[in-house]
Amino acid sequence: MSGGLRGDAERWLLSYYRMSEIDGALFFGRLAKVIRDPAIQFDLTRHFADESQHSRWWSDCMDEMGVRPMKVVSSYQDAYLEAGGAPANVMEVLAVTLAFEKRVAGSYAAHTKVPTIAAPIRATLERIMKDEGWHIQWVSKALRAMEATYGEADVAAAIKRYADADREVYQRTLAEHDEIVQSLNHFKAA
Amino acid sequence: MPAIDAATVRHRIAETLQLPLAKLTDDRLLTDVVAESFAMVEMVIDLQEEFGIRLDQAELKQLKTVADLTALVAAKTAA
Repeated sequence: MSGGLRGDAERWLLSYYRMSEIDGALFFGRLAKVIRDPAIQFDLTRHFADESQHSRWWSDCMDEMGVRPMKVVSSYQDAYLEAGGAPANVMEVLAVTLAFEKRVAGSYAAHTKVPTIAAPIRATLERIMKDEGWHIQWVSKALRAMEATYGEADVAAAIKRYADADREVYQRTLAEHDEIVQSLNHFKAA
Repeated sequence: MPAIDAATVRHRIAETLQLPLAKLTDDRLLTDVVAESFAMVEMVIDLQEEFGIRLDQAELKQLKTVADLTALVAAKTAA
């Protein structure tokens, strides 16, 4: 049985998802304008469009539930760049993207496990998670292809650096996400 | 690719970020010129794509001013 929105905590969470998708779209949109490798340009443009679409789906979801997005001060993309350093080249852009996309997929998957989740939220999470799988797939493949240019060791080092940054950012900021999702488990279905 | 000069780099930055060229004086801090982190990444990637060079984090961390960046890019194209 699905319930409704669980107050301001869940409203904040959906607003946070929406804002993060907007930030992702802005980041990938900027890069899609300047990266020239045809294969990366193609996939990055689709990735940009996906993130933009996801922010729309979160807006639609909140509208369906009768709430408006809250003002969310910051999302975790900036925190990633701060913790791991701004990506200096295309390979590092993909490395930070891989870490970020894995974290997003994990966070969305955790939210779907809330037993009494509202139907519009579940539908939106499941819809977006289909795209997230492809995001991880294309970025992983592109990074493997870059080993020929950047060297296997440098690619592995960049992936590790941003994975480490991801853990640091998670401990500082994203743990709040998990706390909210866990708190939702205590709500009873309406 | 032939070596390019600092002025060419400056023009490219202005064009990519749609900034007035007058704002890109040599002594301006990069963090003042490009305050937003996503724009900074876009600029750095664009310079590499446009001039066929590669930069790394150690090099970027040394940069403070517009002159530092234009000199680095110009030197890379001359190498």
